[in-house]
Amino acid sequence: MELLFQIILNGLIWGSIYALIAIGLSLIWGVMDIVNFAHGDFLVVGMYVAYSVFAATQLDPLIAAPIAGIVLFVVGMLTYYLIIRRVEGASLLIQIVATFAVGLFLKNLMQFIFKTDYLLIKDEQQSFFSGSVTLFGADINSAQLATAVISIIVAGIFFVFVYNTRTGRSMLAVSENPYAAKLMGINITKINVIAWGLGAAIVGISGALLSKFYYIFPTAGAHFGLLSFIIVAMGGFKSMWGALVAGITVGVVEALASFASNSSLKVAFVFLVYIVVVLIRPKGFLGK
Amino acid sequence: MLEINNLCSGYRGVQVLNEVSLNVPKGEIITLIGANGAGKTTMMRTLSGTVETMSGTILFQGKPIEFRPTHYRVEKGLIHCPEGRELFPNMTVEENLLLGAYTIKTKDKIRENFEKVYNVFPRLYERKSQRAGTLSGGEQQMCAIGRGVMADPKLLILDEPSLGLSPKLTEEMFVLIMQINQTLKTTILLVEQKVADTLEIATYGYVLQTGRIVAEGPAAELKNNSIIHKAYLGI
Ligand SMILES: Nc1ncnc2c1ncn2[C@@H]1O[C@H](COP(=O)(O)OP(=O)(O)OP(=O)(O)O)[C@@H](O)[C@H]1O
Ligand SMILES: [Mg+2]
Repeated sequence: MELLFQIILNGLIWGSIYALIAIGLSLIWGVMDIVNFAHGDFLVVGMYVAYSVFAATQLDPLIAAPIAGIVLFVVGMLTYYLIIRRVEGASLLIQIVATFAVGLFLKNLMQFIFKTDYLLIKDEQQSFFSGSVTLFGADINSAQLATAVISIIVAGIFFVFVYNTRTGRSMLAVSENPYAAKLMGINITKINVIAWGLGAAIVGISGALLSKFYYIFPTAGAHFGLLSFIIVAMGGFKSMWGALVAGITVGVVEALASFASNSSLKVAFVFLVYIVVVLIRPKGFLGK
Repeated sequence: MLEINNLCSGYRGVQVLNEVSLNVPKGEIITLIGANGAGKTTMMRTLSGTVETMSGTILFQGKPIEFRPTHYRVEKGLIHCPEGRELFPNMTVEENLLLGAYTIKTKDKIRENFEKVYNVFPRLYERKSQRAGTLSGGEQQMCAIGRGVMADPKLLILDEPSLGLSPKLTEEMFVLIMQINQTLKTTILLVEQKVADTLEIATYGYVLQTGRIVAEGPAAELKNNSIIHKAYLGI
């Protein structure tokens, strides 16, 4: 029983960071109807930002997270302004290739700057959230616990922004009906820029958080990118709440699967659950 | 209020409007009538800037706006209620109305506009927490017009507000449109296919046929116009 609790708690922790990553993807997907295949690479840039900050100043990734957010906000806005804006209204394939190209560019840029070595932020002296804590009898890595809590807080702030500010509401409006949103006097281009900036910022923050306990290398984003596509599909397109719920679900499924069978099979189990969910609810948990 | 001269516009590769000129004086209800595919909706989209102007001018309150983006035109008070309502279906009536007031800056003004809309459409007040997608057709149309009124329109463009409504509801809708014109002093450009009803409330009308104006005149005269009789009134 205690073991099960430990496993689920671990799953919840991974799930909250998955959820944060997926919310960033869901935002861009919802507002623009464009699937961002550079999402995993945005995450990696966030990891490298945290690494660079640590290398230069010894500051913990948890403190570098806002910096990663700002850097990625700019990267996201530039991606929209320089590339995506030019393929708006083009066919789906052209848009996919465009975002894929952005991802490829970022991957290679990271490889050029940081080489292909596996990097790890080792924070021995500072011991900022290091070691482990005992929670209801379960042993939890405190760095992971801290990232999970921060992920949930960041997601919370983001939801408050979306549902309670004029800009947030106009993002929802563009996502539901871009034509009507335009007729309300909403400047769609401006909203798209903000959505790309925010979506990228969120995944950048996730990357910084992740770098606290995960290896950093140029292709680290592939796995997380793939997972976030599944999460968004499972949660329901255009539903950021769905992304939150599905992200946490995927974390728990992974944790249970790697315990029950083999950790290398956990992604297969995630797919299995995804297929079951979509069979029962074709539009995902909260899709409309 | 609105002066359109020799307007041409259309979609990629297809020109729909051909040298259309039309005038909407302040305070009046002007109607544009025409059969399916005549180009009425295209014309309204060109006025709101969701379809690009190819040539010609659109003067709104004396200033050319044909190359201004839609959000600029909305800020100036040119509000387009599109054909088919185009609500935000997953948002509540209240949220839809609030988005209508997107260009209104002060909270007091927004509250005042909510009152105006709920006065004209008490039904919307009853339904304010209901998701717009679950409203009846008539209620959805009220919500769409109400959303337009929320923006403090100087000119309100209504594209087929009677679409899909029963004859009785259509008549009610026309009364409400007249009420908006009279009590809120809003100038209205009304696109319709229910010609007989429309000519009852409009002051002046234009007839569009395959992208050209083929007849125009005071509403009372148009009722007796032979083109209209044959084509629309079926007499
Ligand atoms: N998005 C579009 N792309 C290309 N052509 C279009 C588009 N929308 C409309 N058209 C064409 O433009 C012409 C005019 O259409 P429009 O919708 O303006 O007519 P309408 O007078 O509003 O008709 P209705 O009474 O059926 O609403 C039609 O021939 C139509 O096929
Ligand atoms: Mg039409």
